Amino acid sequence: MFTIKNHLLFQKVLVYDLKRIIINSLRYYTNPPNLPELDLNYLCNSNNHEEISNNITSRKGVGDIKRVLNLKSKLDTINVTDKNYESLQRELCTELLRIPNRTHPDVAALQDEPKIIRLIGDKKVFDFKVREFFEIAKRLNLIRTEQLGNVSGSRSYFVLGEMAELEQALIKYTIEKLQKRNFNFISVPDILNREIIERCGLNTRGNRAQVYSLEPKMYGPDLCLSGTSEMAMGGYLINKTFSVDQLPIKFAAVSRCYRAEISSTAEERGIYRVHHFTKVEMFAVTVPEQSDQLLEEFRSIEEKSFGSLGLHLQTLDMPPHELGAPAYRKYDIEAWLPGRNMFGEISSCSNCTDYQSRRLGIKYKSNDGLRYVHTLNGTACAIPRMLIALTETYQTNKGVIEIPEVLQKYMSNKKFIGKQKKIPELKLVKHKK
Amino acid sequence: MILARRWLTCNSLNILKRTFSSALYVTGDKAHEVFAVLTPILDFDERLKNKSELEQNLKLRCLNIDLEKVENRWNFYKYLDEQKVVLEITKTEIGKEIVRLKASEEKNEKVIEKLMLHGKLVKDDLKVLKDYLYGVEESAVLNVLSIPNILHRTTPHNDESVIHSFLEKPKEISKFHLDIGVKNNLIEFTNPLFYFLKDDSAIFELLIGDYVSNTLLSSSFTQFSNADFCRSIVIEGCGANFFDKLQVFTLEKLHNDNNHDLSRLHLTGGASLYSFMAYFARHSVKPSYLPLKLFTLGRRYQPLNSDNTGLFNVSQESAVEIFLVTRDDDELENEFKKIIVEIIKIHEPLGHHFRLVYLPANQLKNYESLRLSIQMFSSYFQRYFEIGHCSICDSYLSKRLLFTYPFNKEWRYPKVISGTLLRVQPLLACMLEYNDANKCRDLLPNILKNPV
Repeated sequence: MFTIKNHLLFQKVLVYDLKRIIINSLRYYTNPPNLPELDLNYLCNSNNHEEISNNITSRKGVGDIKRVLNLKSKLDTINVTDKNYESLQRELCTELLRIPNRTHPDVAALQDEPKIIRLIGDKKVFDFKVREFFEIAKRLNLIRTEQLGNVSGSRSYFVLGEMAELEQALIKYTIEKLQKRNFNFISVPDILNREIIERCGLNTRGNRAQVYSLEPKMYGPDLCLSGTSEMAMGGYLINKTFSVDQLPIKFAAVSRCYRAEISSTAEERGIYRVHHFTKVEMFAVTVPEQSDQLLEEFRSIEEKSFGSLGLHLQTLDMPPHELGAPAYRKYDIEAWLPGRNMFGEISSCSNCTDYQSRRLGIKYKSNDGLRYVHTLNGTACAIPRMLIALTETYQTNKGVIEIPEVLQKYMSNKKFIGKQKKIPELKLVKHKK
Repeated sequence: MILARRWLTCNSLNILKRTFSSALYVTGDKAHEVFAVLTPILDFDERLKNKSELEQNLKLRCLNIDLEKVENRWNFYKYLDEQKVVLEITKTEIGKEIVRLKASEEKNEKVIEKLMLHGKLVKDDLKVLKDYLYGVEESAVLNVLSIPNILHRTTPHNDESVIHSFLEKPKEISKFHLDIGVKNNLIEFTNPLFYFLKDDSAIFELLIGDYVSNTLLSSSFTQFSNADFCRSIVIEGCGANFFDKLQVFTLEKLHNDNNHDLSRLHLTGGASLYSFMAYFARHSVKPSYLPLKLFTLGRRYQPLNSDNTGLFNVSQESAVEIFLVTRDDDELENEFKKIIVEIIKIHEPLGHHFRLVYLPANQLKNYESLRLSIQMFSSYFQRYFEIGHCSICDSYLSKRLLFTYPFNKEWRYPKVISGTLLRVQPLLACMLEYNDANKCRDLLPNILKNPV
């Protein structure tokens, strides 16, 4: 029925709708800057040729500084109005983007091997034959990986019963730790524009790409699944400018991560390397002068968090060839996996200095004008590897898994994970016509 | 026979044009290209025993399905299939007879020759019939697979039916939740695919999922953490069209993926019916485990056209999905009643108005027999939005995807209840709008600050 009240309501809704549509259309295109403002003074200075070339070699990375310099000198000789100017400029930009970040001097001095910088806890001594995660989890009916290829894809897995509760307990435990350290929580998209992922320093195309894409014929060529929320948080910060007193800002996100990587090595059986998993990620933006210190803070958060869970850990300062393109310095934290009798990576943290911020246009206002922030990222908790480390460390001779004391309060004060008696064993039905 | 053969040969030309259309039902001629994971159970003959009920069902659901045509095609397929069996038996018998005659002392060459000629004709007929049959089989079966689930007696025919309402419908008119969210630095929204929840709204997402999980755990539910991808067969098995870009996200094939186009990977998220059905497809469970009460907390992905309703319709949601497996009608009804109590137990302590509504038949999905919609009122749009649901699926899904349990030496198909008890983003949208209308700044209800 048309009443004055309804009419006013309609008008109000209409005004908001119009306002929203206008705002949304403005917001729709949040793209990174067209041409990243790379540090041309450094990269295109022939005096730095040797240093940059050595850096590329030691990182075993891609990038051709000689070609960069050639293109730059060509570009300098032609006029801006020249018909070739734009294509040459684009070519130079592509080559410049392939040059990896600089390397921390301490890391550059390392050879091919990582340097162990810290050991936490001791190897647990068992008075019985220790088992691997997969064997324990299967025996207690805590995981399913078999017969899933035809219904949910290769290397799929379902975490069952109390192991799923343990997964959630780990997330809660990590969130609480990060809340106490003043992280800003953010919920991020898992489907991202290809450009954002590439600007964060990951290749999304080619045979060795680790990135899933949505079907281009249906959704266009540029939608990919995020491999880590670091990229979504990078996307969130695109073209943002901060004041100095706002920095550093620390973000944390819980997200699903999708990785197309495949593996067939024996070390990576079970759920060690999977295509999808949950991760709590830390990310920070800071003034350049504080990024080294913030990396140490990230490392300390990780060490304390995993250490409190009673894991035996070693922290590694990773050598240049393990850094990937964006990182200036990277620490890996490995946990001792008694069942496998080896250390396995459970976490890492990196200082990417201005590599990502220049590509994404993230700046701050300094006394000297606008400068690029430094970005850092770190794994606060990656679920599958944590489940492996905890299960193997806390296995008992009775066959059950002890729940670490700090996690018990998130699991209704349960002390052990035993056989999941409520979850049925499945039997394959081979019905054919 | 020869006439029939000519007729079949003419018609068999059409077969060449036949394209791949089903991942769920793979006919024999395609089996060398697509792996037939399972064969669905088709209960069409049983459904036809109560044809008037089925006709009424299609009418109430407003489905444009010509039941006569489906039935004719199905009967024709069955007739041809019977003919095939006759020819196969004949062929075998002729073969046996030839062997017998050859081994006998008389060796009547004339009879043997006649039989061999007959055998060849039968073999040719069989080949032509088989080639033709595949096309008929596929079209008949796909028609049958498009028939929706039976309707539950409670499903309203025309209008929705409200069965529970908590607190008064808010009278105040609020601003749009995205505007509220942006103003208070709680949301950054570019489009339904690319948005961020910040600070308290991000914490809200984490805490409310946790709260619902704890409530379900205390009610003897078992937690799962599900796979996020499903293959095409599962999507089709659950009644959706995996070729439709607006129904489910399809992933690009990886360079090393040699699977056929009917076995693509789809991004559904773990908190989905698809994921649970992928878990149980073509498997049997011991009946002693039933009723089985499972839930998962995770993501759900759904392609969307932007409809400017903000968080009410986004492509990525956090959700709590339940999946119950029951033996028979009594157990199904009983568990469904308990779920309604559970929904009330979850939502009332949050202190907001909501209502539970049975949706009319024309709003049901094909796999649903009954849908209970959990709805909240948007103070901005001045209408109700669904923030969760719970559906009786009966044995529709378990028959299609071959999920069984043994009973007295035969297979039975469990009756499934599926639902999303919590969709965080639409709930958050309503809460932001209520708070704005009531000048309340605290997004987190006490129940989340002091979880049970």
